Formats: sequence, C-alpha cells, structure tokens
Amino acid sequence: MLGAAGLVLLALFLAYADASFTSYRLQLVSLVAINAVVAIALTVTSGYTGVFSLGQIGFFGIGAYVGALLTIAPKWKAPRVLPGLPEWLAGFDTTSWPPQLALLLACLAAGVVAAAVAVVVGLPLMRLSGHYVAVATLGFLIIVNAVLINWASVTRGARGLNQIPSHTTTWVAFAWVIVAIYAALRLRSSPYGRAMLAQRENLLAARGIGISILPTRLLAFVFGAFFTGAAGALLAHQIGAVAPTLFSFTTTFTVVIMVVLGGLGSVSGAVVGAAIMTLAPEFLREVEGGFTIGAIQVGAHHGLAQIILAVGFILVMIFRPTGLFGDRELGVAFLSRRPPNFDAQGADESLTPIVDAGVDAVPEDTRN
Amino acid sequence: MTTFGQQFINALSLGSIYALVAVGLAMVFGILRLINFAHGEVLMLGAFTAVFFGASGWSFPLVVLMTVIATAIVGVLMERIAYRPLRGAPDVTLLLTSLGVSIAVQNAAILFFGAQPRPFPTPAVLSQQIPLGGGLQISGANLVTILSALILMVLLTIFVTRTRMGAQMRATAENAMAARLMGIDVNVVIIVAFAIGSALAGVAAVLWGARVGRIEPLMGFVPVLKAFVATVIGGFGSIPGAVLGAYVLGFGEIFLVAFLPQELSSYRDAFVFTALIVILLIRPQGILGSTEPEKI
Amino acid sequence: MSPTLALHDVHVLYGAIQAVKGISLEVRERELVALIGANGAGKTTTLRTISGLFRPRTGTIVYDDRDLTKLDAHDIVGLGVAQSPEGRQIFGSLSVRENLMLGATRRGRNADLGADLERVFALFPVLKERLGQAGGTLSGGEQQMLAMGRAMMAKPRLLLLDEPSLGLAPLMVGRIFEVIARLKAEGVTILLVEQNARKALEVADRAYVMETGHIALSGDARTLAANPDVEKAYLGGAAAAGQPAKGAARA
Ligand SMILES: Nc1ncnc2c1ncn2[C@@H]1O[C@H](COP(=O)(O)OP(=O)(O)O)[C@@H](O)[C@H]1O
Ligand SMILES: [Mg+2]
Repeated sequence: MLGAAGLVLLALFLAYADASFTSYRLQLVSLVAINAVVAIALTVTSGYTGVFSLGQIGFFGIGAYVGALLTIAPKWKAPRVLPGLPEWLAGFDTTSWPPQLALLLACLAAGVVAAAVAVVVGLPLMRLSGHYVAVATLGFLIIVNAVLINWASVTRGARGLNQIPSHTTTWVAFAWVIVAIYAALRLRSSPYGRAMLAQRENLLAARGIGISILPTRLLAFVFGAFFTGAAGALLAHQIGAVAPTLFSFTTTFTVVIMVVLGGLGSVSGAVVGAAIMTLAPEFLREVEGGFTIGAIQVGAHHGLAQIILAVGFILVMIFRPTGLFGDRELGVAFLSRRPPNFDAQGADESLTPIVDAGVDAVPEDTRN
Repeated sequence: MTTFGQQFINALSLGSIYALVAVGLAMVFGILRLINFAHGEVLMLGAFTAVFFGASGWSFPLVVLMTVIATAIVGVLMERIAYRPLRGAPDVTLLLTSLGVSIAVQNAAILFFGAQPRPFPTPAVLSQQIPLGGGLQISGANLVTILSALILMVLLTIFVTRTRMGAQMRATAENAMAARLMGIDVNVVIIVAFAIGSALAGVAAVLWGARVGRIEPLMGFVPVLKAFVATVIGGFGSIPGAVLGAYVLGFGEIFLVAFLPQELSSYRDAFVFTALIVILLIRPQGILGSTEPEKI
Repeated sequence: MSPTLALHDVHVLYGAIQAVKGISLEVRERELVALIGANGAGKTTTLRTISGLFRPRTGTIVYDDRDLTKLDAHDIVGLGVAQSPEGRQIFGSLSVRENLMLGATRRGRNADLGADLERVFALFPVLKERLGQAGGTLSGGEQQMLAMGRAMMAKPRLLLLDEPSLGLAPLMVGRIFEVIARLKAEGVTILLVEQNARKALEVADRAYVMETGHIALSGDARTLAANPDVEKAYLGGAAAAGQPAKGAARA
C-alpha cells in the first residue's frame, strides 16, 4: 500500500522535475538516486552484518570503468588511445543501440564484474572482524586506486575516461533505487538476511544455531558490490567522464556518513542519508560565498560544506550513535505511531554507555 | 653496492618517519582501541606550524620545539573534544568519528591555508650531503631523521618501561577496569598518550616536510596510512611492534621501488597494501602482537 | 559511631537490565562483612559500584561521610577503598613488582613503600620470589595473592574482596582465608564477596545474603550459618563447601 503510494508520488515528482527542473538540478536528483543505491548496498554489506567495509568505493570505481568501457564509442577506445583493451572490447559498439538498453547492459556488466571481484577479495577478507576488516578493505580501495591510476593502457591513468554517453536519466536511476530497496528488504527477511543479522548480534550464538559465518558475510559483501558496481556505471553515464579521484577515500567517507547518519542497518535510513549528504552541500554552498570571522577574511571555498557535514556527523556520533533511524525502517508503523520512544534506545546503545555513562567509563578490555 | 648502501640509508630514514607517526597510533590504539585517522591531520598541522615559525625567521631547533608543542596541544584537544564523549562506545563509532575529525580538520586547513602546496623551508644544513666514505653519502635531512628517531625511541622506551606514568599506561592498555581500581586516573593516561603521540607526529611533520620539500592540507593522509600498515604489521597496539613494522615497511617500499621493473614501481602502494592484506590473513596479530584478534 | 561504609537503597542498571534493585548495607570499622549469594545475584555489580566503576541510578554510598557516587574511581581509591576484583585482573604483561607498585598509585610519588612491600611479603612470601616475573606467568593461586597484595599496597581502610577463592584448589582456598582472617586481626575493615558461603560465614562478623538484586537476609554470621534456609540454599546441606545450590534460593 504505502509502497504503491510512494511509487506514484515518486513518479509524479520525477515527471514534475523533468518538466521544470534545470539540467543541473536534474543531475542532482540523479546523483541522489545513485548515492542511494551505493548507500543501500553498504547498508547490506556492513549494516546487516556488522562487518565494516571501507572499500565499497573500490567497487564503485570498478563498475564505473567497466560500464564506461562498454559504451564508449569505438573511435574513442581504439588501440591508439587504449592499447591495453582486448580487441573485442575496443570494437564493441553500442552507439546504434537504444540508449537504455546499452545502459542496462553497462550496469549489469559493471555489477557482475564488481561482484566477481568481491568474491575473490571477500573470500579472504570476510574472515576478519572489527578493525581488521576496516583496514583491509581500505587497503583494497587503495589497490583499486593504484590500478586505475597506473594501468594507463586501459584507464588512461589519472586523466580518466571521457566521451561516455550520457544515458543515465532520473527515471532509470530511481528504478535502480527501487530495485535495490526491494532486493535489500527481501534479503533481510530471507533466511540469509536473518543469518546476517544473527551473526552481527552474536557470533558465537549464530554459529551455535548452525549459521556458517563466512558464506553469510560473503553474500552480503557480494550483494553490496553488485549494486555498487551498477551504481558506478550509472554515475559514469551521468557525468560522462570518470577519473580515479572520483573513487577516493573521501568518497568512501561520504558514503559511510550517509549510511551511518540514516542508521546502520536501515535501508530507508540509507536513502534519507544519501539525500541529505547529496543535497546538503548544495544548500551549504550559500554559506560558502565567503564571510569574515573577526579580522580573517574567509574566501569563497568549497571546504566549508565539508567541515559542517563532518562536524555534524561527529555530533551525531556523540549524541545519537545509532543514527537517525537505527535499525528501523520508515514505514506505516513508523508514521502512524509516535516516534518509537526515544528512551528505549537501540540494542547497541543499551549495551555500552549504560551505568557507566557519567563515570568516564573506558571500554573494558575484550581482547583476552 | 653503493646503490644498495644509498637505498639502505633512504629506507632507514623513511622507516624512521613512519615509526614516529606509528608510535602515536599504537599508543592510542592500545588504550582506547581507537584507530585515530585524524593523527595524519595532527602531522599536517605540525607541518604548517613549522612553516609559519620558519617563515617568521625562528631558528630551526626553536621551530621544531614550537611544532612539537603545537601538535601535542592539537592531539589533546582532539581527544578532549571528539573522543572523550565517546568513551565506551563501540569500536566502529570511534573509528568513524576519527574519520569525521580528519575530514573536518583537512577542510578547515584548506579553508584557512588554501589547497595549494607550499614550499617547506628546509634549512641549508639539512640539504647538505655528508660523505660517509666508500662513495656513500647521507643527506643532512636523512641523518637528522635517523638520529632523532633513534634518540626519541630510546627515550620513549625508558618512559614506557621505567617511569610510573609508563607503567600506568601499560596497565591501562592491558586492562582499563583494573587500572581504575588501582587508582589510576585513566583520563590523565589518555591525555599523556595523545600528547606524546602527537608530539612525535610533530617531529615527523618537520622531517616529512624536509624530505618532501612541500606541504599541503591533505599531506597527512599518506604517512598516516603507512603508519597504520606499520602498526598492523607489528601488531595493533604494540609500541615496539609499530616501530618494527615501520622499518619493515620503509625497507619494503624503498627496495620494491629500487628493484622492481620500472613499469611496476608505480604500483608501490598497491604492493604495500597487498602485503598488508596478506599479513592480516596469515598473522593477524602482527609480528609482535600477542593477543589473538577476533577472527571468524 | 557511624559505619565506615553505608549503602542506602542503591539501584544499578545495565541498560534495561536491573542488576541491583535497591540494596542497603553497612560495614563498620574493623568489621569483616560477608556478602554471599548465588551466581548472578548482583554481588560483583555492588562492589564495582562502590569502587566507582558504575554509577548507581539512585541511592547513596556513604564512606566516611562522603557520598562515593559523586566521585571517580581513582578518587575513591585515594580515599582508602581498595578492591581485589573478581577474576583477579592482574596485569599479566607487567612484572609482579610493577603490579604491586601500581596498587600504591594513589599514595604518591614519594611514598615510602618498603614497609608495605614487607607486609605483603609477610602475608604472601611467594610473591617475593616472583618479583621480577611477569604477572601472567604466575599460577592461579599466586595471581590471587598478587591481586590481594596489590590491593593491600593501597594501604586501604576498607578492603573489598570479590570472590578471592574462586577457582582455587582447596589447599589454596584455605591459605587465602587464613590471610583474610589475619588481615581482620590486624584491624583492616573488609567487605568480602564469596560464593563459598561456608568459609565466608566462618570468618565474617556479619553477613548479607543477596538474591537477584535484593538483600534477602542479613545478620550475625554465626546465626545465619545456623539458619536452615541459608543452610539449604547456600551451604548445600552437607555437600562440599563452595558449591552453592544454584537456584534453590529462589524456591
Ligand atoms: N556487563 C554487563 N552487562 C549486562 N548485564 C550484566 C553485566 N554484568 C553483569 N550483568 C548481569 O547483572 C546481574 C548481576 O551480575 P553480577 O553482579 O556479576 O552477579 P554476581 O557477582 O553476584 O555473580 C546478572 O544477572 C548478570 O547477568
Ligand atoms: Mg560476581
């Protein structure tokens, strides 16, 4: 019910946007959708499982390049430009295809390649936990970056690829959001999803009831990689050019904020987080016109929005560490009731500062 | 042979800088289980402090002193403002907060200093080449780097193993609850850890500036990332492990570049992180770490 | 004379779980008070709250006319309240000497600790032989001695002992209780938490019986030991000491 109403509203909004938005604004709308897909993917990979990945954007980059290489017209990827490309790919021509078909192929291929890489990377990495998996996945991101920069015969190095056809529309971008939401919610209510949540809450207990941890986590990792890869292709066909700097650590951090802000584990939280983090810089740009603090003239600068967002994020971490939604979903129950009482906090919260709150508690040593 | 010797000196110098950065990470991790991503921003602010005082015509030792004081203060402030309210929070919350601090400080630096790199006023003595005989020579910067790391590591070892505060620090890292039952003020221990770690990052900032020759607001990322790798190699939270890991990394990097075919040497960072992942998989507790990390 | 330590209506929560549900108890000067009860009754939580590791939701903990609930853990040690925690919690990577010296943290840089060390060695001679060894290399019984010796180094006026006999061989249990009796004879005020109720009631002056967060019974140690309910629930009839009949108290 609510879902159908939401779809109608979304369609009305997109039609209205098509009719009256400037192309810049339309692009923003698409970016919200693309970021939402990545945030949903990370919600599954990390939120469902509690395995914190800082490498998500590596798959975003892989997807963007794979998608781009498929649809760039042959004359722009001829051996003289990209000598490393296999012959079939260099000659692969989608220019005569219907654009949406070409884009669909690009997204699916991007998702599949990213997912395949995720299997290879995830098999070893998903054995790790806690800080170790965060650092290792960060390592993966840096490796992807190094390859994008250095494998110039395929990626054109730091200059990146351009001449990518602008196939991505707001409609298709939101179609991917809907597919991702649907898949993520279905996954969560499936036995696999319940296994993910169970091993997040209690590894030993989950193992006790027969959940094998590695395949469970790997599934979440690969699921996230597929959608992130597809989103990468959407991005490439949105902005028409890709470069390694797009897939840096800063981007990772932005996506992490989206997911954590909305509530790690909440799919709708991820969408809201993506919208906030994509649109907020636009509103904050107003402030960036430049101003003076005392005697210091602060010039117009892009950094201010980042500072405000980062500080806002720190405040959320301190005062509402489960994010805006926690694990919950935005839905009928959520709307019809008063906000689920704010005192009975999420599971994570109740296990930590608790009685210690005022006593400067130090986390007890859990290593022994 | 001379190339080898020259590379050896270079590796020793690079490892020394990594060690100075890694120690701060290891100290804080040992006590708080916090991977402090913002440690790189401490280093960056140190470098800008050094340039500021250097440009004001202060003598080099005074510049270093001011830098160290400034970074110690920055580190302590970070703890006080961002990390202390999160005492007892899950590891991931702490990690993410440090990312937030890192991004906020980077962008504040871009706002105030501009994104453009600035030259680092390396004193003439540091640019001099000192012959070592046998065709070998060492730059003043490398010599100072290696010696100061050596001296500081000796002092740090004495502090950690021989002083009351050092014992309190080890006790807190091992078992914070028991430490509190001993009457140890854990907040003081944490402040001291941040102050010392950040002061060492201040020294590293000057040495890094002298090595690279320029500074910019995003300069902290690479050394801190390498320092992470060092602490992982050595075993998270172990100070001697971090130092050892830093030198292993320094040597690995330099010799990788020196002996790898030209077209592969630009993949240096990819190799470094591949090595990191391999180490995490085969010996996740690091070379010197003793505690088994959680692993599924 | 006012008691050394007085808890009044103390409630402690772990999130939504209420571990201590309004307990009141007193320890007078030079007294040895035992706090006994089944596993999970809330004894450890009570001791940790006294030491300032947890802050109670409501209630007061008065020690020497001061409310400890307002103080940080390290200041509470500074007032002379030391604890030998459950599970010993010695610093395994630090030497025995360092462990002992850390016990005296709040006595300042210049305190003369020689006499205190001698006193600990008199109680636990084996520690003297192990001074340079890492704490983690000691046997279980030796670690318990170290934990108690470490607490003694604070020169406490009130000593909190949490399950000092837990997991020790019977011979070692006897030694530990001998030391407790000796400390009492020397005039140290002690609050002893034990699951080994039989032994605890033998050495204690008074005792409190804790059940699921409440004080169920209290009184003179000998009277309690003779109480048939206590006998049945905690002294396990004629069964071996230290084997509390779990759950029986709830019947
Ligand atoms: N860290 C904790 N988090 C949540 N519940 C706890 C924690 N520690 C103890 N508890 C619960 O509080 C109750 C009292 O525990 P505790 O004080 O350790 O009892 P005792 O020392 O008498 O065995 C038990 O039900 C236990 O499960
Ligand atoms: Mg207990």
